Amino acid sequence: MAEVINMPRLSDTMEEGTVAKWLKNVGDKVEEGDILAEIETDKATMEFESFYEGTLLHIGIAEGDGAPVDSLLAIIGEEGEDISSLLNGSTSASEDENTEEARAREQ
Amino acid sequence: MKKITKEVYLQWYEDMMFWRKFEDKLAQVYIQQKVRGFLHLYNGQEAVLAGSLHAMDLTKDRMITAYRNHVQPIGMGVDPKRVMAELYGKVTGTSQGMGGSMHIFSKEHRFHGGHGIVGGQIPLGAGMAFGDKYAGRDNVTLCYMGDGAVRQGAFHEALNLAMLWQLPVVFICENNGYAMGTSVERTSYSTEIWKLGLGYEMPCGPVDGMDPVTVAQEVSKAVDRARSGGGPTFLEMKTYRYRGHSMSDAQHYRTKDEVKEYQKIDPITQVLDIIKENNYASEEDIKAIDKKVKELVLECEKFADESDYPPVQQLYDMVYEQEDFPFVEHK
Repeated sequence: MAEVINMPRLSDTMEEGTVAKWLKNVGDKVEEGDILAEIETDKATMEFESFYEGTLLHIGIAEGDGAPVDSLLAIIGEEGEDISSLLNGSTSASEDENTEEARAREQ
Repeated sequence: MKKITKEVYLQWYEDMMFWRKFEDKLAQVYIQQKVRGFLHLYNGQEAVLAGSLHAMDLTKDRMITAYRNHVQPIGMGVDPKRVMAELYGKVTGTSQGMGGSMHIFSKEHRFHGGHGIVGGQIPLGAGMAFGDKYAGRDNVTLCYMGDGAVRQGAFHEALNLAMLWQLPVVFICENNGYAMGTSVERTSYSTEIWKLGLGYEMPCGPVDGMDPVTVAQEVSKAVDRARSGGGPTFLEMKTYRYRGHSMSDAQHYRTKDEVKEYQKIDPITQVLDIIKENNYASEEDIKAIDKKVKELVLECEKFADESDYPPVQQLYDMVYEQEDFPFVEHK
């Protein structure tokens, strides 16, 4: 099953990140531990490793673009896998999480 | 020293593999924000723990360390599910979710933390050894620190008193080459940290901290000395960490080639080579261990995921003695 990778929180104070460089392209094979991209945080540019193996199926944030933590960054899965449902579902899923978290903070 | 048998090598392989995968999982869930705060991982240093555990009497000896402290309690017998839950801040954690990454404790297994202040655990370790000696018990305390911590005054005060009072303690510096992002070379006139013991005439020496066999031998000698009334020892483990100081470390102070050089003498690979050379296990056996390790890590993750956060009321527990917290305004 394909895995959705969101903009990681690479430091405790990071709110959003910018993709400084993609080290993998769509269609590339990815091993666990491979560096996927270099991500600029509020503190430094850091390498972001993959915790999954498979093929890079989708890039959600282009090189040079920034996005808040938890935005859809990439999808890794099996070559040729249908990921359309993940692409459509991803935004609403993260919104749900955000409201849940906001609610938890209010409590 | 207890003999290092086939069973020991296989146990080392399984334990070290589990510790590494446990830490890898934490790196993963950290960026998913399931674990908050700071996170310092042990990848690369596993031989220090594996060798030390072999030298200890786990029915009575104590351990205390700094904040790179997730896998030590697991090695001493704490349920890894509870350690993972503590990192998640869940009520099922070792400190009911109130300690987090840097403060894992288990009184039952004599793992005394988990300390966030650099070097703060060193006098505490000496004090624990003092307590055992004073009470006439023959427990030994193993007190760990990083290479940065030996530049703290508390280290020197503790070594002096431990020697003066001949305390049953083994001080172990895990020198992974970098105090956060600063190399030992940049901060030390003498880079042979073990020599700091000489100033107190304490038995001391350097140890190959990438090889569990050497670690086990040297720590055994030190533990035996402490238990038989011979006083403290100071050992410098020359080791290496593959990941950053903490998760927010971009590691610009070292090259990738340097990391790769150390991976050639990786403790897990070293043990696996011995297992293969001596036919201690078949390829299938090894695969079965790897599978077991992977499943156990997932089990820990699931347990932590599904556990509850502590009730809000618990915030005040263990802070004020009065149960009705008279100085806190209730809403």
